[in-house]
Formats: sequence, C-alpha cells, structure tokens
Amino acid sequence: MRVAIIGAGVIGLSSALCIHEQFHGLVPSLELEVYADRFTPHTTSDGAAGLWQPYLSDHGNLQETLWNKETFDYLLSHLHSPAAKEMGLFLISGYNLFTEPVPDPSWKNIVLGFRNLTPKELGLFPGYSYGWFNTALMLEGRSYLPWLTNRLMQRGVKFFHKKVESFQEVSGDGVDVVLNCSGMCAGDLQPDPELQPGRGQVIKVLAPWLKHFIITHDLKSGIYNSPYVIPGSEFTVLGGIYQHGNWSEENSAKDHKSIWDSCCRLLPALQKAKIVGEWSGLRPARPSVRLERESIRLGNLQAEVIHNYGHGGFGITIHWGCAMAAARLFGSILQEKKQLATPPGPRL
Amino acid sequence: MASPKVAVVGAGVVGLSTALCITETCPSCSVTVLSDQFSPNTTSDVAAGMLIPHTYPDTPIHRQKQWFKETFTYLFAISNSAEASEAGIHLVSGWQVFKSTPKEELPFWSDIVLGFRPMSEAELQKFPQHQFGQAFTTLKCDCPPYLLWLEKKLKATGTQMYTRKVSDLWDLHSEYDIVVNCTGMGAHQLVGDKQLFPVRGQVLKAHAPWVKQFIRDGDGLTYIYPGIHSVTLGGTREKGNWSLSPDAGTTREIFDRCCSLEPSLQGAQDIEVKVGLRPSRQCVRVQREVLSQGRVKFPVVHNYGHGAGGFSVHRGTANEAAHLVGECISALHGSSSRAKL
Repeated sequence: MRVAIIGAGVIGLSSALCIHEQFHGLVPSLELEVYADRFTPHTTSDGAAGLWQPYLSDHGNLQETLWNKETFDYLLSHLHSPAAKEMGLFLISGYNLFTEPVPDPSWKNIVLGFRNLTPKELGLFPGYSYGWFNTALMLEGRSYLPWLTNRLMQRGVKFFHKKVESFQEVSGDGVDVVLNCSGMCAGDLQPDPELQPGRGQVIKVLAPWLKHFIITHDLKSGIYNSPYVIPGSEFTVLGGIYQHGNWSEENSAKDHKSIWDSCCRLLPALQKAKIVGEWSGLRPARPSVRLERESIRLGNLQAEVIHNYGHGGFGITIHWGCAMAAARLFGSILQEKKQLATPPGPRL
Repeated sequence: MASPKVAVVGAGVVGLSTALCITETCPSCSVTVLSDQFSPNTTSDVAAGMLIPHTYPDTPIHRQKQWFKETFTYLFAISNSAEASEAGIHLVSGWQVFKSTPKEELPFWSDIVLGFRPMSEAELQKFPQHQFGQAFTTLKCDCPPYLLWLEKKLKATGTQMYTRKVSDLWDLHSEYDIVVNCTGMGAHQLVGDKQLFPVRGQVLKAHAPWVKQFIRDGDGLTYIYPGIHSVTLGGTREKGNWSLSPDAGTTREIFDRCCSLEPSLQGAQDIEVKVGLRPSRQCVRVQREVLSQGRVKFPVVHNYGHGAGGFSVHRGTANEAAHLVGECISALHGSSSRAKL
C-alpha cells in the first residue's frame, strides 16, 4: 500500500509519522512518500517562533480545542525524554496582555499555571490593564522538522523534492491514499476560496536576557496585529503582523518599522538587541481546519484523499491532534479496503 | 568638613552598591573603592544572583523584608528600562519544589516577588519526587554584567577604584575620613570577626539556552537558574569549608541532581565549574563602629556577612550603610565644631 504525503511542513511530516507509527505493523506493505517543493528550513513551519498557543477564541470549534489539547499533552509527555532537546521542545512562561478585561480562553486548563496578572505585573506594561500568565511549550520548527525527518527516514519513508501540481500526479502510479498537507498551496491542488494567506513578518534578534514570551492583543486589529516577543533557544522573534489576503513573501520595510517600534515600546531593553534576521511567511488561514476524506475519481481510478490543511497561525499548536485524526481517517480507509478484499458471506 | 573622603573596601555586589548609595545620599562625599579583587574575580561573580532571600536567624524578619523589598523595587525598575540588558537584570519565572510540604508555606517574601502561588497538581507532575511547590517570578542579576554596570555608574560620579589589598583598616585613617567595610569573607581576617564563617558553594555554569525557567529544590541544595549567557547549576552548602578549588566528584554529583530535576540538561554544553565562599553570619553586620588609637578616632561602617543572601538584600543593606555613613559625617562635623571652641 502506497501513501503519498504532499507537504513537508509540521503537518505533513507529523501526519506521516503518526500514520507510519500506527499502521506499519498492521500493513507490512505500507510505503510512505513525502512530496514537497520546500523542505526544512524553508517551510512556513520553520519561520514560526514555535510557541504553543491557540487563538483567543475557538469560535465554538470544540474539535480544534480538543486537537490543541491532544497536542499539548503529547508534547508535555515528551518533555523529559532524551529527545526533547533535539525536538526543540522546552517549557516557557509568559504574558498575554490586553487593554480591557477579556473572557478566559478555551486553553486555560490545557496550559500550566494559568492565572490573571497582578497589578504589579501589569505595571511592567504601560497601556495594558489586563492579562494572563501561564506556562506553555515551545516547539521550534528548525529543530522539530529535522527531528521528524530523521524519524521518518529511519522508518524508510522516502522524500521527493518536487512541486505537485495535481492529485493525479501522485495518485496515478499505484498510490492508494494521498495526504494533502500542502498548507498555503492547497488551493493549487483544489480550489478553496476559504483558504487565504494571513501574511506575517518577523524580526529575529539576539536578546538572551529575555526568558518570557509576551503577546499583546488589540481586539480591534485582530490576532497577531499587535506586538509579540517570543524568546527561542537561539534567538528571539519579534512580530505583530497579520495581513489577510496578502500573498507577498517579501519583507516589507514598513512592517519592519511597525514591528520594531511597537516591540521596543513594549520592552525598552530591546533597543539594545542585535538584529540577526528577518522573515515573511503566509499563515494558511481558514475559518476552520479542513481535515476530512474525499474520494477523487480519475478516469477509472479512485484515490482517497485525506485533507489536512488550513491551520492558520496555530499549526504547531494543533499539529499532533490533527495528525492523529488523519491517522484515524487513514485507518477507516484501510478497513474499507480490507472489507472489499474479504470474500462476502459467512465462512462454512 | 567640605568633602568627606570615604573609602569603601570590597568590590563585590555589596561594596559597589554601597559605594553607589553613598554617592547618591552624600553627593559631596569623595568615594574611593579599594579591593584586592574586582569583577570577574569576586564571590559575587560566582553567584547566580537570584532574588530569593536567605533567612538570617538573628536579623529581625521585618528588617530582612525591608532590605529585600528595597532591593527588589530598585532592580525591578532597572529590568523594565533600556538599561536592563547592560545591567544584566532580568525577570525569570519558575518553581521551588519540596520533597515534603514545608512548615512555612508562605515565606516572608512571597508578597514581594511576582505572582507567588502554590504549584498546581499538573505542574507537580513534572516532579514525581516532590509533593509541594511554589511558582513565582523574580529577578536575576547576572554577574559580571551587573558589577560592571555598577562600576560604570560609579565612575560616572567620579568615584575612583583601586586594586589594593587592605590588611588593616587603620592603614587608611590618614587618607580617608570614614571607611566602609564591605569585605565579605575578608572580614574574618580584616576585623577578626569569628562569627563570620564560609559556606562553600560549588556551581556549574552551562550553555543550555532552551532552559527558560528556574527550578529550585526547597532544601536549597539543588537549583537551576537560567542567566543571560549560561545556566547556573548548583550546588553545595559546605559550612566551614574554605577551599576554593573545584571538586570533580562534586561536579558530577551536582550535574546528576540537576538532571533529575531537568533531564534536558543532559544536552548542556561548555560546562565551567566555579567555587565561592558565602560570607555567612547569624545576622548581617550593618553597623557603625569607631576605632580608636589614643585620641585618634576612625569611624567605620560595617556591611558584611550576607551569606547566601547577598544579591537579595544588597541594595537594602547598602542604603542602610549609606545612612550610617551620613551619621558618621554628622558626628565628625559635630566633633570638629567642638574642636573649634
């Protein structure tokens, strides 16, 4: 049984690993192939800071909240494993800041030690009158993706560097299942007007004295359009750009100024930080994650496609829950195929 | 006396901060810092510089709390300013974990640090051998940066600093009007204080930049304190041990204890070993004394014996010592006016 995974970001690689872990024992002929035009360190997942944190509101999408929780618990269970450092996984605490009181988020009981900020703490952030403190996780794409790639290669999964233009391209040729983890490019494989870029830009700086993440929120401007500072293991990410519908992956001088000025206002000590890089990426935004099966008919062939894309700015946050769900969909495909192979009627 | 000449002996965190406080409270004073060691070779340079107070058995708690509060407030303001990175001051959050629930669940400083609360069940699961814990956010003073920043501020006020071993405070009486004794462990020899004893601490400084949280065992022996460029792993508390040489067996043992609290430390690189002698005393000696030889009087202000709590209370004790220097100056003015009659 051959499975083609399109996309080698956090979603593609983790879905591949999840499926291989669960099914290679049951299906000895299982062969996985990853197709992508970009691999680490050039994927969207590599540009993200890697902080586990869902959006403020799940808009009633309980399924996504459950997938977020599944991911957090899975990562937490790996925190003390020898692999943690190689995975780019570590604990980090920090602040979410608001200019007015807001309801508690869907993830308040998922993270550790969630609480409101005290007046003394708020005094650190003039202009913000309300906020949260909690301990969450960092999962740095620059480490996690190579780690996933190594695990997959050890399992004999093959990688192909190519831009897939259609499902037919991979599904002809004996591939039974296609996993569509193409993120921002999903629209190239199958039009999806609900999938839109949420362009982001970040400045990478050296600020090793910073040990907390700080995410500000401007409820009027929307998510990620307010400064944020996220310290990683090698550098700190400064951000605060979310431009819906903007497809440009070029760094913008105007956005640079906006990020720099707003972050330095938030943390005056950043003025002394050395800039070591800048990056722009497109969050694959969608009203909800597309995680579902689709049967695609190509002439007299039928291929099963499992879509797993549209994770916006919370791909790392939700990835494992989605990988497990994709694996369940894969399992049901296997069951159906087995049923078709079994002769009908009772055995005498 | 137009410009009292004040000598501060000692250039660790206590000496430098005391000198700075004196320049602030007595701008007319001419302050000179004398020390046989400067950063990076002071005891302060070995310390992690965490603001988690040590309790002195014989100092009234309200006084210790006042010292800590003043220090915390002072450093908090710096941490929030553009100077934070140069001064080496930064906020750090984390956990203090206990193998068994302590008698005192709320230490005297719990309302001074930020966000102090008991750890949740979920957080304690990370520490299977520990029953109870406290989560809070506090400040860390990284050395050398903090000491170098203090030196820079002192130089800006015109304070001179000289490398000089002072073996006898009387040696200074002809050049200076008042001497401030911030010699830490050196006071044992310098003023013969037998109540002062070393508590040897060995620590490792490791490169592990993914460690963003502090973890401290409530027994004070095992701790992980992330600094700007390295994580301090500790430690030991060996009362009466004067040895400044690192012990290899101790290094292995400290590393193992820290890895059991934070397994990812197995991947730590570039490990350096350091030793410091905490200048320990039942109470911090912040006190005036007048030395006399015949009719010659020499006022001394002592500010030493901070043991394991130097960073936590340094600014508070420096303020108090500076105030005592002010009293010495008034006393000198008083006696010089009497001499004029």
